[in-house]
Amino acid sequence: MELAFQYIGLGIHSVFFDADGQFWLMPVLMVLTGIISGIFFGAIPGLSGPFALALALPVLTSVFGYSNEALLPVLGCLVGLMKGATVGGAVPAILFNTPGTPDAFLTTADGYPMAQKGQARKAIQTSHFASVMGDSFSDIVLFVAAPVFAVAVERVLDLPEKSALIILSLCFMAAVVGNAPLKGLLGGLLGMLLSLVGTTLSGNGVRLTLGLDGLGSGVPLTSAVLGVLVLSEVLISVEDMSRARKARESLPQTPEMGPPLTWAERLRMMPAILRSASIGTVIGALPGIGTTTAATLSYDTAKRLSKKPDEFGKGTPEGVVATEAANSAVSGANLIPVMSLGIPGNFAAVFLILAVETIGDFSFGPSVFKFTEIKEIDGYGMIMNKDLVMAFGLFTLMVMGNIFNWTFGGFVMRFLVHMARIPKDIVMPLILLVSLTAAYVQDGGYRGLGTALVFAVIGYLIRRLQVSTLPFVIGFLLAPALEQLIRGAFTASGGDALFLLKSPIAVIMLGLSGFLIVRMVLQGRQKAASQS
Amino acid sequence: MKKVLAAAAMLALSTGSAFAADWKPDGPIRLWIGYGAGGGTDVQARMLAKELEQTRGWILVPENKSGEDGAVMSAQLKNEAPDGQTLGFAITTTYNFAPMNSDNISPEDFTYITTTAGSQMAVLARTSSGWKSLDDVKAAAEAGETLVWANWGTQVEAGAEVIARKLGITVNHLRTAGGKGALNAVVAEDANLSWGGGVQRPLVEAGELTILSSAESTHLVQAPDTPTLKEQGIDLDLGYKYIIVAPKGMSDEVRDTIAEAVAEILNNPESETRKFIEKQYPPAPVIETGDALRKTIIDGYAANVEMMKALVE
Repeated sequence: MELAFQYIGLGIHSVFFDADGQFWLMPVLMVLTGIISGIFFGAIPGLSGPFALALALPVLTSVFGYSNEALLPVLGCLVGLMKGATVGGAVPAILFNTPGTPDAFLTTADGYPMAQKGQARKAIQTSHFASVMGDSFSDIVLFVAAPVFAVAVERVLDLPEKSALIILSLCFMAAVVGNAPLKGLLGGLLGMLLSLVGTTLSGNGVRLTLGLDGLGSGVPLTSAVLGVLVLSEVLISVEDMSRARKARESLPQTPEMGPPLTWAERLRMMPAILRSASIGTVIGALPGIGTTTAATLSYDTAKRLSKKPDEFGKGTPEGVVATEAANSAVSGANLIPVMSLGIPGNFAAVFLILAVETIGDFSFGPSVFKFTEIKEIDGYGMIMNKDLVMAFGLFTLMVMGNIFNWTFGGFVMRFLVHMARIPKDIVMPLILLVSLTAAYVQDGGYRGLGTALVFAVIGYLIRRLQVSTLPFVIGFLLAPALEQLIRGAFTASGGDALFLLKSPIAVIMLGLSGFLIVRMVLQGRQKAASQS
Repeated sequence: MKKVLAAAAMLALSTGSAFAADWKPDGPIRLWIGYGAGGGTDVQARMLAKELEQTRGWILVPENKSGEDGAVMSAQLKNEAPDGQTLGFAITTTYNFAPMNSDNISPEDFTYITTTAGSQMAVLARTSSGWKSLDDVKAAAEAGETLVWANWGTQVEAGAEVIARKLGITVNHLRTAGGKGALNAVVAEDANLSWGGGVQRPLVEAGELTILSSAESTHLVQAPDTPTLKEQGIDLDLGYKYIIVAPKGMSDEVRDTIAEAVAEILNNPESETRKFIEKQYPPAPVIETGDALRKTIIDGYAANVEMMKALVE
């Protein structure tokens, strides 16, 4: 236990002092920058947290570089953006009935009627309070659950079981994301296929490079993700705008702000916040389900348990609390599978994983939480598990993020009233410029640009087919890890063809995956039958 | 006429003094790193790039091009102009072993500029396994334990196989991404044995891993009493060096200027790169340059071809 506290202490220390022992505020400042820009990003309709993360990552790496020292400032900023965007999305939802981020969609149900009743200030403050509380709650769960889970996983799971676990999470994600699970699964498989380009661990040379030496190290990750997520969204927006050019509507006037939220009211919200945050945390810990489901589930539960269910949808603070506490609680819990297993559950997690893959020698996974004894060795220096210090450093930054969100967040939100008025035809070209520059700088010039453009078209097609891009991106990111595990499990078994079926845990997980696939096929057939 | 002569003399003088030290890069130098971000090769290359900027004022732009033991980077490097504007940073294995598995590169495709450091190649096991030597490994295998050996490349996997055959035991192999991956595998109990090229030092100091044998031609700094493989009758030297290369056809002037600039940094006791090497790849930087280095690589390639032939037979 003492060792754990030593590591926590070192983690906190690493946030405030750089490798040379000099006091630095950079990571903390980056969290603050992230929070504030995240709130702004969240408040602009059409731009969401993942968008901000996608644009920020290449900019951050070009500022801070790729050394281990860059990790904390970069991760701090990304975590700040993630937290800020969830908070900011609620403002336009409440004021203008246009959610800034998809997470805030349900916030319009009660937030907007509240604003119409002259309680805009109260609605915004309620949403801010519930959001920050939910986020802090799920962060605490993360801090405790991730290490415990990681230690358990490392003790129980061997190579075949780890392979089976990744297969299961991919199937699960495809099954729960969007309303066309089979298409999601196909998207995931397509992502996996594209990640096969380049180097293998077989030692037999590169594959699928079409003879291009530039693809030898594989498809450049950042450009590919920028293409699928950001550029495809720009393409869709441009198309939508050109169709609706004449129907551009002006936003309504800012409603009456009204009285502020009192402390007594905040106190009365606490039980509801705890309930919603718990729902959000549980949903968030499962890969792929995401904020919208958490918010819906929490909203329905709150309505069912409420003494005045009729008021839901007509402007009750209870409704705002239910959605905002739950959708914010997702963001912390989402990092449980990321930090303990390296499996991303949503887009924000994808970018945190991308960041640690490109910077330094830190990577997420069970080995992060190994409590190595801390010793001083002559002529070498301190011996410790640096990854664990890093993890606790990240936790510290998350706590800082919550504090900033508490204090500055509410303040910043007051200025957001104008953000929702920035028209898309100004925002989109800017985003296009930034992301193309990022792809060019980050991934070796035209190689990056070409990749980003090809993946933009892929993302556009996936979206136009009404399929979520999440399984594609996660398949693309996880396939190399899966391949390495499966190859390893196979060769380590001495070339046993049944290597995946030798342990009961792996068999159960593969069985569940099979069940999910069969279920997806059956659902797809039913749907097709009911449509014809 | 006099003027022309004077000008000619001036020209002769200026070119005369422009021996090794006067070559200057024309704009930024691209430094392609053959391994991924964060590994021992990457850290060293980036440190060196930074110090070259400080000492010479050259601008270096490092870029990671990982894969296939540096062969992915080298396949791109060989098509560049040998003008000193594009350099590669990898390990000697990239040139004296990896070409065997690649249709794209051969050891003759490159100009070898200088080495920077040498490995501390060790056979490792978890201390908790209780093994102290290769004999203990043999005993465990004979007692029925399944052995898994973590390898980061084809060469070391072949090396593991050579050892296993010499001991008369069977090992299964686990391929990992880079040296850090191999260490993680043995720490996480996915493998029983692993190679370590230098990054193992803190884990060995911490008592988590034990060095069973040196795989260099000499004893290791960290385990001076542990025998080498050769001393145990296994004719294998898997030591490697970190190396800076360029496409073939680079003039001696450019090659030597770059080598001198690197040596100046590595010989300076205050240099960060040197400090890093002293810590990670002790005791000190290993500098081998020019034609001697070229010969070492070409001879090493021939020896490795022989090793692989013997393994197949």
